[in-house]
Amino acid sequence: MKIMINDIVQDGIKELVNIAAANASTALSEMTGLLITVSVPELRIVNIYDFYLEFAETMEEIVYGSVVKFQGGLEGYLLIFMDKKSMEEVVGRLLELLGGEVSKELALDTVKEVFNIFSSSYVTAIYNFLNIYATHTPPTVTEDFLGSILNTALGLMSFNTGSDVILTVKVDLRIQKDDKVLGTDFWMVHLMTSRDIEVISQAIMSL
Amino acid sequence: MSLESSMNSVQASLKKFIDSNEKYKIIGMGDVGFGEDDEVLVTLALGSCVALVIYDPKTKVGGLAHIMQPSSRSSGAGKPGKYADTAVPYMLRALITKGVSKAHLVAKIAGGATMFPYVDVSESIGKKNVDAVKETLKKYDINLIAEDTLGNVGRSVKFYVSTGRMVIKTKDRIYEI
Repeated sequence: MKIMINDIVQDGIKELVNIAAANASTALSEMTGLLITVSVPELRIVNIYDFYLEFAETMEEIVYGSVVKFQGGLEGYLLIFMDKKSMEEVVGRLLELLGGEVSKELALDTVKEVFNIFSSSYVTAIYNFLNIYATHTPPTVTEDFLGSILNTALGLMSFNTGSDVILTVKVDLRIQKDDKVLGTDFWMVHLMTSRDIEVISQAIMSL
Repeated sequence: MSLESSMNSVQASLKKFIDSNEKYKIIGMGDVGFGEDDEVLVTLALGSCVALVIYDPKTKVGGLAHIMQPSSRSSGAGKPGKYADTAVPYMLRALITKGVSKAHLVAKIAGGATMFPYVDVSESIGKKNVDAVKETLKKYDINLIAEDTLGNVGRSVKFYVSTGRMVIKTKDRIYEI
C-alpha cells in the first residue's frame, strides 16, 4: 500500500503535530519548572523495515519509552523516548518539588507520570484541533532496548492495519534550566496510517 | 539514510554484543537468513517479534527468521519471514534444498514479549506469535528443543550454527539456551 500526500496536507500535519507537541511540552514545563522546547516536526513516508533499521546504531540503547495507541477517530501510535539522564533531570526536579524521601517505586511512578502528562496533553491537543471524537489507551512505560520498543510498536501497527508503509512525524525535545541544556535525548514520533492521513486531511480542509 | 549505511550502522551496534572476529549475518525484521559451520546468525532488539531458528546439528546448517506476526491470512503478501505460517515452510524448503535431511531438523525460539499491555488489546501479539510458531512447527513435525519466550523484556539473539547455541541478551543479562 502506498501513501500519497499533497503539500497542503503535509504542512497541515506538521502544524498539527507542532501545536500538540508544544502543548505537551508546556504541560511538562509547568509541572517541573524546566523549560522544554520542541523542534520543527520532521515528516516522512517510510516502510517499517527501513524505519526500524535507521535506529540500528542505538537499537540496544536502554531508554525509557512509552507507547499510546489512538482509538476511534485515529488509529496510529504515539511513541515517546527519553534517555536515562534526561529522565533523571525531570524526575529529580519533580521529586525535589515534592520533598521527602525518594523510594525506587516513587521514582518509577514519577517517570510514568511524566509520560502520562506528555501523552495526554499531546492527544488532547490533536483532538481539540481536529474536532474529532476519539480515545486513546493509557500510556504504558517501560525501560528497555530502544529497538525492542520500536519493534513492538511497528509489529502491532502492521498487525492492526495490514500495511507496512507509514507516515512518521518526529519531534525532538530539549530540556533546559537557566539557559543550561539538561537533556537532549528526549523525542517523540507519531506513527500515522493512511486512514489517519485521510481523517486529518478532511478535518484540515473543513477548518 | 541509505540501506547500505543503515547496515553499516548495524555492524557498529553489533560490536557491543558480538565479537567482531565472528562471521555474523544480521537478520532484519521479517527477514530470514541462513548459515553454516562457524557462521553466527543475529537479530537485534526483539520486542513482540519471535526469533525462530531451525537447524541440523549433524550437517551444521541452519536458518533464523525474525517473525512479526502469527498468520499471513489477515494481510497476505509480505516477506517470507514476516509470518509464522509462511516462515516455517520457507525455511524448511530452503534447508532441504541445501541438502539437509528433514528428520534431523530441530528448532529453538526466543522473543514474543508483551511490552505494552494496554496497547496490546485482547491477547498479546507476542503470545500470538509464540503460539503460532509452535503450532506451525508441530504441523511440520519439527521438534522444538528450547525456548525463551513471553515475559515483558526485549531480547537480542545470536545463534551459533555450528554448536546450536542460542545466546540471548536482555537489558540486564546475557545467557544461553
